[in-house]
Amino acid sequence: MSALTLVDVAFMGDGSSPEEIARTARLMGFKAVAVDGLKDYLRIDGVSLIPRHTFTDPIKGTIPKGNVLRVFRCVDPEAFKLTNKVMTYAHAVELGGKMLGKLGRKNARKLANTSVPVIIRASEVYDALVRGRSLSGLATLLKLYEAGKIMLSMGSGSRVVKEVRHGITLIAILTTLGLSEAKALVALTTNPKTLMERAGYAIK
Amino acid sequence: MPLSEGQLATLLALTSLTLSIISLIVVAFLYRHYRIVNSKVTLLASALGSRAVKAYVKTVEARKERGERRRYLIIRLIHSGRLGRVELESLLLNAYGKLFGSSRSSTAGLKVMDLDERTGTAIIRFKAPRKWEVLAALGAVENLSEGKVIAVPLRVSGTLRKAKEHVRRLTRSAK
Repeated sequence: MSALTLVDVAFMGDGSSPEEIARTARLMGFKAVAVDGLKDYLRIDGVSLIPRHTFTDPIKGTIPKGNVLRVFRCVDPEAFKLTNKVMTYAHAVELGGKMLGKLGRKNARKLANTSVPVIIRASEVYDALVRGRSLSGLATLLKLYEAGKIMLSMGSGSRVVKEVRHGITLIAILTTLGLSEAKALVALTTNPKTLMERAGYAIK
Repeated sequence: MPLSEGQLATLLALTSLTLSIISLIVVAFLYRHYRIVNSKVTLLASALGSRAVKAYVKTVEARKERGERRRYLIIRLIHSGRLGRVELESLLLNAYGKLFGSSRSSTAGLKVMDLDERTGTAIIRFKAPRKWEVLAALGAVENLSEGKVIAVPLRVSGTLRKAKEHVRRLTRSAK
């Protein structure tokens, strides 16, 4: 359905073979996928598979060097600390769990002031919508993004290959949540590409 | 041989006579056409003034305002187990209802028009302004079916005929 360069910045690899991930990504319209736990960059069947590393502790923990998309994941508003380590090493901050329910004014201000790129997972958004959970934190994020104060990217957030959704579906969910079509499109194309470039991969 | 004065005068008179005859014919032709067009315009104006036409124009305008133009979405289904037309429709309506509420789902005009179980392609009809909502609901189908059904949107078409043509092309290319 799409001739766009859609990029998935959040595929949480579950041990599926790279060939299978690439095949699914191609079917779902993605030209590049950041896969958590992947060791090296791979290009299979026209799809770029980029290694991604997620860390949840903003102070401790080892961070791999080299061309890896490094993401600081935060699921609790209380634990949201943009330490030096996060600001130096992380290419983006991934917000999920309770953060989507309640972001908090202080955290929203932090995000806007530091202008750190933000990633959200579509799987979590769908899960919250289907279960009827609050998404006021996400609404705040989308407002900030619409106002041009933060850079937002959306990834599929799939844990298994079966959970990957089509890129157009992800654009549609952002549009129905109140984003303009142009901004929703950028969150799946330009912004993830910029993130990949920061990680050292040029996506054409 | 130079023409005499009398001959020149005759030639001039003949030319002017020919020109005037031609212009007369043109005027008569134009007048005839004017009469035909005028009668048709009068007929059209009286028809537009009639109650039936006024009601029709009003209906069309109201339909435009309500945005009731239809679109046809072609999807490819990846599923395990049997999935019929009724099951797919209820799954879609359920997903749409979960995301946007049941009242909204009833006015979205969602209907599975065609399902080819062999190739796994389906055509879904919906109201044009709900395009993004329908596409978003496709993503929720995975959640509700617990990963048993994955819907991949392929194309949105304006008419059912074109949508069916596209499906036929897909079937041919798959063979």
